[in-house]
Order: sequence, then structure tokens, then C-alpha cells
Amino acid sequence: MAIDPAIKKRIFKNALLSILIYALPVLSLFAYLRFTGEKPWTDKNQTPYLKQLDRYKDKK
Amino acid sequence: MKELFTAIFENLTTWGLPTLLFGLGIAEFLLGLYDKHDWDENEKAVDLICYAAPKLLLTPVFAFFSLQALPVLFPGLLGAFAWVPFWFGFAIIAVADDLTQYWYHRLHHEIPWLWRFHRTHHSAPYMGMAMASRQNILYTVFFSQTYVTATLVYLGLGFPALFVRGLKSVITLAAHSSIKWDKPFYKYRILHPVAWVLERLISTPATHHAHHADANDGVGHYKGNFGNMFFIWDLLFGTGVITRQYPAGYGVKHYFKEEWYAQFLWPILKSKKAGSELAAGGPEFYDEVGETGGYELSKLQVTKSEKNKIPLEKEEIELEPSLA
Repeated sequence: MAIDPAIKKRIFKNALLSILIYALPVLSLFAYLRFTGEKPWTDKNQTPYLKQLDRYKDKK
Repeated sequence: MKELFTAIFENLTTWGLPTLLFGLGIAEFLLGLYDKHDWDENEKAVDLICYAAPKLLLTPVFAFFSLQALPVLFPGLLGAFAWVPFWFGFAIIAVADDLTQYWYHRLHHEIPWLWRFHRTHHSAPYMGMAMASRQNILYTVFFSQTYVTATLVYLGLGFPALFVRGLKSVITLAAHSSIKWDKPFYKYRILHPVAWVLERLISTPATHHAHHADANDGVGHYKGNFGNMFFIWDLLFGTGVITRQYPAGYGVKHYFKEEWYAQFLWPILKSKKAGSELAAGGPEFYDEVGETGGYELSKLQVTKSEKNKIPLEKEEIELEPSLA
């Protein structure tokens, strides 16, 4: 059964808007870093929280 | 304070969520919200197998992706973005996870050939904790947001992901519950402003039950309300309907009470019920007005029985007039 052309059009239109929505938090992070001048990536003491992945190791 | 919240969410995402699910389920049962006629042995089997089996069968798949595939796909980037401030990480994960799930869910409703992978979740003629995890195995395997979030955890956003996962799971479980906890927000005038925000921000029983309705009748809205954690996506994309009411019935109109194995493992195993969307040669999709997506049911049943040399059972023939 073919997809309804109106639905197809709406999917395409909404998908384009979604790209912008996906990008918004990242763009706002860039704006924040630029505005404050902070460079948190230079702090070498950052330790990633990886318990979600470690949980799989425990089950191995 | 940070340690306290971390401990709460760490416990929530390990033993807390299953406890919440069983606790709510017991409360629903004690409140008499499971109709004995609807929740028969076959439904119980579908609910149980869909809850338990993926935990055993799919853990190795997710473990392989997280521990073996990601280091190959993103070499040297383990924890590379751990510096991202918490609230930005939270927003990135919340959008990436929930918007991806919105699309995954919506496409299974709007692209006809995908529908049967999601049908098992909608075939339950009731709402509640029993059916909250009810999905076809392939729908769960390709749950795209699982892989998106695992990738972001690998890249260093594991801490905000812990909170997003906890919140999202609580919201989606609560939206599937047959306990209509949102009712007081619509009933008492003083709570109306809270209701206005709540029903636009997250999935509630009223909006999500409408998605599980067996009819598109103004209250029921199974062709929309796709949001899982956030309802905002439905408002932004025009797929949402808010009525503050609950549908009269749940499920799919053309439900043949297909065997648990067909519902869980289609298309690997197919239903023996002629005319079912899950049967061999069955229609791809029944739409809301009873049409069969290009098939005519009576012809389909004849064609199928002739083709496969399977005689129609009495029960199936009796079903036909109500389906035509």
C-alpha cells in the first residue's frame, strides 16, 4: 500500500524542522560558550560517567 | 544534593523502574482496571513475553553495540565530550532521544509497511502496566533512540543521560497507566494552569490513551499523539490533539487475537488466523474506515485459503460480517 502523498509531504516538511530542533541544544551550547568565554574542555580532570556501559561489562 | 539526586536516579534506572512498573501494575489490578474478558490468557502471554524476553535476548545486542561497535565507529572519542555542562547535556540527550523516538514511532504509523512491526503495542484492548512494554521483537531491536543515547553516553554524556532516562521512563510508564492520575488537573479549576502546561509538555494518560484508542472519534486519535516523553513534538508538527477526555475503547479494530508468538515474532513467525495483518499473505494495513489497504477481506480470505490450502476455521468465518 502506497503512502498517502499528503502524509509524505508532511513527513518531509516536519523532518526539515526536526533538523533545526536537533541542532538547537548544540547551537545554544556554542552561544553560551562564546558569550561566557568558558573553555571547559581544557579541564583535564573531567571523568566521563559510563556506568550505563559498565553495566554491560558486568554481564559479560 | 547532587549526590542525593545521582543516587536516586541510579537506583531508579536499575531496580527502581521495574519496581514502579510492578507496583503500579498491582495497584491497577487491585483497582479492578483489568477487564477479565479483555485480559485473557493470550493477552497475558503477549504481555509477559514482550516484557521478559527482550531483557534476555537483546542485552547481548546492546552490549555488542556499546562495547564493540562504538569504539570502532568513534575511535579515541570515549568520554571526549564529558566537559559539556550538565543542563546542555541534558537538553542534547532529551531532544536526541525523545525526538528520535517520536519519529521512529510516527513512521511506524504513517508508513503502511512499517505498521505491523508496531501493531503488537496497539493490539492490547486495554491500557496499563501489563501492556506498557508490549512490542514486537524487531521493533525493539531497531529502537533507534537506544543507539543514539548509547552513542552519546559513549561520547561522554552519560551523567545527563542517567537523568533523562529516569524521567522519560517514569513519564512514559505513567502515560500508559490505566490510573488516570491527570484527571484532578482537569477537574479542579485551581489546577487548570498546571494542566495546561503539563498536557503540552509531556505525555499524559489523556493524550496517550487517545493514541491507543480503537477509533478516531474526536477523543480517540490513533493517527497522532505520537510523543513519548514530550508532547511538544506533536504540537510543533501538528499531530497532537488534546481533549482532556479518555477514549471509550482501546486496541485495533481488526484484532484477531493473534497468537502470542506471531505478535512477538512477526514476520519470523506468522499468525494462522486468516485475514489477520500478521497472517501469511495478510493485508499490510487496515485503515480506520474498515478498508483493507487495497485488499477486499472476503477475496483475501478466499485467496489465502486457496493459496495455502488452509481451510478457514468456523470462528474466522463468523468474524467476517463484522469486519466487512
